[in-house]
Amino acid sequence: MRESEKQKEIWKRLIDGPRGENALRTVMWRMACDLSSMVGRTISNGDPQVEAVPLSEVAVRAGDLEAEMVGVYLVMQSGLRGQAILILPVTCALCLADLLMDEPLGTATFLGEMERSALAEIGNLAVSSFLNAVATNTGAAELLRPSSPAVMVDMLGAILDVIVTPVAAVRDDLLIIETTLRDAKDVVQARFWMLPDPALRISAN
Amino acid sequence: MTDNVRTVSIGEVIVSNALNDVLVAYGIGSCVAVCLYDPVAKIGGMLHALLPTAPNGNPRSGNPEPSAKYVDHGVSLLIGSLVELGAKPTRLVAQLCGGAQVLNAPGFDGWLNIGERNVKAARSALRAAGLRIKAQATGGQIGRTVRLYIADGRVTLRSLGRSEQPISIGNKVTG
Repeated sequence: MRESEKQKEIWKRLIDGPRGENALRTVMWRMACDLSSMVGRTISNGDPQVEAVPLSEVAVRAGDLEAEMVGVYLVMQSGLRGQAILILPVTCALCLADLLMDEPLGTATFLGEMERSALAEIGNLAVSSFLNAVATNTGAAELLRPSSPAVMVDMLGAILDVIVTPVAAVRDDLLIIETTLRDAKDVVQARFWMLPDPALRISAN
Repeated sequence: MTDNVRTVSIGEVIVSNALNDVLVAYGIGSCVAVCLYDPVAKIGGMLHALLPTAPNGNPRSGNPEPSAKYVDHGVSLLIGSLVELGAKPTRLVAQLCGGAQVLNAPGFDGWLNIGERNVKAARSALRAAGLRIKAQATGGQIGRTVRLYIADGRVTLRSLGRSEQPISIGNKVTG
């Protein structure tokens, strides 16, 4: 089987039918568990959604495009190809940085180098956990590691341009695999998006 | 007169002659917003494009179908829509915003250079159409919200931590 066919097969096993739903739920739950261990508080994930969103509707789907947000972005260029992004409000990003650096909440007041580095680690863990869980769940060989994470702080619209552009070069919609992540006190509130490589031309069922 | 805000989404062209219309592209990063305005007819329009050129280049080649997600196709579509509404091409004034490089991190240096390429494509398409760029705010590393007021052709910008302000006149590249 060609490499692209193999990849397509793995993605399909996560998004097709009831079995895919179960597999994706397990993968996202595993990721939330790993993040919980990392930050030292229970983070739960919402029911994963898979949706093909037309380019013109990405804005509506995403929310307030002028809102200041943090995006932790990774690209998977080998293994399972695609893009991943963790999107969270700045206040939440500061709290996460505090949790990770074992500081009382409210210590971090801006996203300096240390805080960005902590957030990058969270993005790294989220995607690595996702890939490991996919490998376990689908029986695929170990999936290769993603790129280094890039931490962006900007208007949500500007952050979305980064992920929309590579997809738009190939198709007119974005296949988004999404879950929300939050803790009981809403200190952690984030959205995690995984976008399969558009060249694989996977469609949502 | 209350502003009627109309969102110009990614890959979209909106034109208007309603004086209370304000066309807005929210939080554009590497995308570009091309604003054209006929000050006599008070007709204006905005293109929000995210890729520089369509794969087959020439928008008049008929293949692929013109799409406003590409700057080159989008500029043609924008001009065509404005003319259809009664604007005169010779009176159109162009203002250009966007094309930032939001993604700046080790491993992503100059990744795709998409913002810069979008700006170049927009300048080139506007030049080819014989239009002069009156003002521009392009490049840099931050997102911007761009507004075009149909009543007077004013274009304003807003970025994080800054209030809405008019785009400066001249060919200045700003952050």
